[in-house]
Amino acid sequence: MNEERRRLLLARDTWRSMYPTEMEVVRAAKRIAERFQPRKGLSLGRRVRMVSGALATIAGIAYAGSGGWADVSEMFGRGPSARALTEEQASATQERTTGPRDPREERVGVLPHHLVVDAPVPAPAESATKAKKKVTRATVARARRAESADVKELVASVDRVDPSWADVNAALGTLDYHRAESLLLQLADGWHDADTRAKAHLGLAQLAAARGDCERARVLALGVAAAPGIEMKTVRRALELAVRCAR
Amino acid sequence: MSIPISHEAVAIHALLAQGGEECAHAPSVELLKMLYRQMRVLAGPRPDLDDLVQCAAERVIRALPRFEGRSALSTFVYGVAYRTLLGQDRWYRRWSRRFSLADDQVGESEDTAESTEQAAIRARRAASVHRALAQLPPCKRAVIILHDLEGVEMKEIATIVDANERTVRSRLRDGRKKLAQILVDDPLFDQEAP
Repeated sequence: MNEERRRLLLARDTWRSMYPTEMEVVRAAKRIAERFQPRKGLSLGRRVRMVSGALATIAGIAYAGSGGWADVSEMFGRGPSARALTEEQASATQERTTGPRDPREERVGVLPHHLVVDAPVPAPAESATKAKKKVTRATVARARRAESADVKELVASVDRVDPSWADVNAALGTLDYHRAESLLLQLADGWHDADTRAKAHLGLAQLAAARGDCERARVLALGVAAAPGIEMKTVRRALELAVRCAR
Repeated sequence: MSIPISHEAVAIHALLAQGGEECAHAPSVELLKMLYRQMRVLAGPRPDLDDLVQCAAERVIRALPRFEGRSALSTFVYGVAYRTLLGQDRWYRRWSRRFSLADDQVGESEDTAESTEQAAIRARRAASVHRALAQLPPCKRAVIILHDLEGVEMKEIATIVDANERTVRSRLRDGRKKLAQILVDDPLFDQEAP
């Protein structure tokens, strides 16, 4: 027997002498078996809780998908419009709040005398902003239906000649806001170009804000801001108006 | 074509689940005892032995439907234990590149504090064998342990390590040579040692 084989045999004997005892094996097996705990069966109450939780989650997702959370979050002053501001918009807002005050902003609740689209936007009524209504979806829908009826009435009351911005200015100059609004509605019609329609919508939004209807003003302004292919200054003004109305 | 199921396969079904359908995922103590012995043989005494056995038991439960009875049940379970150990060693190598154990007890036997001198020498020698085996590559270590130390047949070893018999013989030859070289330098294995 050579030396190498002798060492290997000694290693084998040593190995076999160190076998675990039966007691050690049984203890280890029981210890490991405890790790395999049987699963708990689902009780009726647990099943009911799971199903109701799943239904609540699905309902919440469906409600969020329909835009319902916007109304709820606005009740607490955290509307999606407030979160959707870009840095540029935020800085513009900051400038407006910290910079020199526009004297026209002092005219709280006063309707604008001139509505020139290239001129700075008249400030909306602060009191109107503060007095945010808790608008439910049903009331909004009702208001929109009534509004569309008013719009039809308004457009019908005005002669159907092609209106111009001069007409709008003239109407505002004579404080005939009813006529100005109807003219703006005609300008916002589909057969005008996108920029004109956007400016007309912005004018309607400004009128709504001045009237104290901040909700409608914000919706219109956001619609203008989201319209493609319009001038950047119109977008900026629309966003400014939306921000002010969201406060 | 139906798959032939041996008596051992039926027996392992009985071993796996003793508690009916609710406990079908829990292995029996008998299976765990078999796995513990085999894993201890392959891995030696180490702190994570229980975890290894648990992991191997889970694999056995999952793999049992694929057991066709072409080998002995113990060979099948040995193969699962071997692959589990290889996977764990691979993970540990990757892990040890980034971390290290604060108190590494790997390779230390619980019996090192035996009172008698003879038992102490035996324990030190056993620890030395484990250290020497740990220096071998995993595939060669497994072949040496199974053939030289446990006396498992070559054909069975080939099934366990999923390799050709010639490959197993080659690994055995290389492993023996390397192990002998390691043990030559160990004074505990000298001829004068008790």
